[in-house]
Amino acid sequence: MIDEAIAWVVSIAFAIIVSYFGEAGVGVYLVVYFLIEWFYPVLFEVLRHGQTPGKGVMGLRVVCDDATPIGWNDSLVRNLLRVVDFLPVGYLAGLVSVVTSRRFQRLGDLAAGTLVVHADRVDGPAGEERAAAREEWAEADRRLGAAPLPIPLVVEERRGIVGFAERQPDLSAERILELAELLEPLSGARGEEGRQRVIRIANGIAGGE
Amino acid sequence: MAASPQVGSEDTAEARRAAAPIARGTWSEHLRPRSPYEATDFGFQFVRPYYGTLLAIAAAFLVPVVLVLAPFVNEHPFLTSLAIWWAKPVWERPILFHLSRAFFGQAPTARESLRGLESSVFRGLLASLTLQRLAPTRSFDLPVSVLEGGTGAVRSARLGILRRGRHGGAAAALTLVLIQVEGLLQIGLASLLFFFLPESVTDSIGESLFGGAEAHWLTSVVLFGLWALSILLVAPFYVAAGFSLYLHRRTELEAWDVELIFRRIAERASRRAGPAGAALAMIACVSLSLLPDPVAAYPNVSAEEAKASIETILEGEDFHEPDTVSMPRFLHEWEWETDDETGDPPPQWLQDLLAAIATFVAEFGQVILIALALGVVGWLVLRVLREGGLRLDLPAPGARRKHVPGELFGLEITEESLPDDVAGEALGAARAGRPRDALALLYRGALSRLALVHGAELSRGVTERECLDVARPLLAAEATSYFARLTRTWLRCAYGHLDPTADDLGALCEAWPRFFGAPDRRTAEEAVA
Repeated sequence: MIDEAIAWVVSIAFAIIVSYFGEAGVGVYLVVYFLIEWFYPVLFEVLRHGQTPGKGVMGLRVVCDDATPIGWNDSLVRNLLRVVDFLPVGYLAGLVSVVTSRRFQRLGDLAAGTLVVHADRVDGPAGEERAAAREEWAEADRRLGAAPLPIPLVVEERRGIVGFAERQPDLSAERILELAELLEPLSGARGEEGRQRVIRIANGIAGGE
Repeated sequence: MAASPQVGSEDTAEARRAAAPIARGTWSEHLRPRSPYEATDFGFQFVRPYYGTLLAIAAAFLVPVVLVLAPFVNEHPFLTSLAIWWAKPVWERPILFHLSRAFFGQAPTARESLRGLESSVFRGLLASLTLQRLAPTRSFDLPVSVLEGGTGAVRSARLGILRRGRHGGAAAALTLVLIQVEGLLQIGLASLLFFFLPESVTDSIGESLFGGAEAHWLTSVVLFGLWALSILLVAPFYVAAGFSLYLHRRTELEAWDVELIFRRIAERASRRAGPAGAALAMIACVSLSLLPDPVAAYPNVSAEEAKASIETILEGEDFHEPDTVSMPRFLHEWEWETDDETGDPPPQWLQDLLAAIATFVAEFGQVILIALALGVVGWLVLRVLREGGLRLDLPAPGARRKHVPGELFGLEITEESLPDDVAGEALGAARAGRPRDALALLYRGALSRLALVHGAELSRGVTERECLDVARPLLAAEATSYFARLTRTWLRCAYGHLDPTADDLGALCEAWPRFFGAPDRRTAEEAVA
């Protein structure tokens, strides 16, 4: 939608310019409008690594379905087939395709073998203050040292423990202790001591010295 | 850190088997911190397996409303459409109830879900149909009312916390977007119907819609029906996305995903400790003990038997899925009609205009092309004047150096980055208790000598194993086996964090100068040339 708006602004601005050239300007305008309408997304997607300005604002990116960068052919196919997605009115076909395909692909994406993905991973609130707090916590945790895993754990479980250590700055003090105490059978301690033991396990998983 | 027993593959396999029955089939394990838009997508993904069931559940509440309103549709088309829109929370609540159970791995059928509806589902319905009806974050607030059961001040306080943050804002955007989608669905479906109607009918509809003529009652009824249908179709997505936003906001605030994982670990840890310590870990409303016990069926089979059975499976239907394609058979060939006779030539003024435009574009284009050409020539002339002649930076023949990357997998291997006495320094580091540094130095030195002395062609992207393959033909047998040992030890240390023993390391340092001693400058030059 942001892209539509930009394309509109550009083409209207151009229309104003060419209006000084009278009838002949109309011809030029139509040619330019045609180019903007059909090639605006293609140009940006290929030259700006899958991001039109609108997608950039929304943190999205187009890639091929094997996660390789998008090329001229892929981008052309997916944008030319935009008309099919528009059928019968207002992108109804595209909408149905997006909600029924497993990876939210519209018909153009299915034909070109492309995907729209979230480009940025956002974890927790950002900001300088938060970054400083995060750094402080990480430093304090490092000083606790590492401990081996008391029982074997699968990847998701290890990730959970490491995630707990990393997300402490986003949680309240009571909540941190509450969570750490859930792992009492593993750490064998409650309260602050329990938390520290969990952090040591996390350090061990993350590969501390 | 010595080879810790829990890193062994068998123990990991054991962990996987033990965790398996709990981990499979629940959506709750897929929770992690997500941005609001990702959370919305998660909701759309989550709704899919249950979409049919949810439609049935919603229809059970929506259809009666439609039937009650139907008699008034013709007289008050707008008011009846508004009424059905207003009543949305009535079926959104049972949808949410079903989704919340599905989220923890219990997905009842529509009938069971409807029968199992607790009275709490409709607590506070009056408020949500009146005071709270216009709240833009309706889908996001719904779980607080239905699942947490908060009312009045408690609810407001809770919502205050939850809405603060990006997820609440996304919920408002979701509401706005999906209202558009509902309208779009109605119009889209209507125009799809319209396309298939005979012209006589479409003309009269068009007149009634845009020409001010009296609308046929059927038109209003169909439009109303399509409106109800699109509300029905969108509702599961709306509720699921709102629920997902709510879950992810709680994940952000309370690390809810971590809690679920910790409960799982704790339950297993206490099960290991023995039945006496088996504290029952319950996740929200679900008792995990209902899930089947892990039955690790790994029968002992010999290698031949296994191979035979693998081959049977590979040849079976699972890997060669038969695909039956059916094509419609046309009953008769299409006959193409051309309507040449209807095409009048365009009027004279249009022809003139087109000709004028074409002439202009041609002339205009010519001017632009000439201007471009002049510009390029001018730019070249300027450049030549400023630089004092054209310089072509082509390398002189013979002066080409064999390309040696300065760095491989993060290790600097240029001659300058290495100390004069590689082995000596490495030994020093090993004695000082820094085995990792010692090994890194030895390995870097070996690579550097390989490239400079033996003329190994190492491109930037090679792996350690590829380096070994490159080195094999260049080195003597003994040196190759040394380099292989060095590579292996380094890999274990670098990626496995398994430090070599002091003896091994000492031996490696001692033998290093024999195979990769100080580079002979002359040989290096020859290799380069």
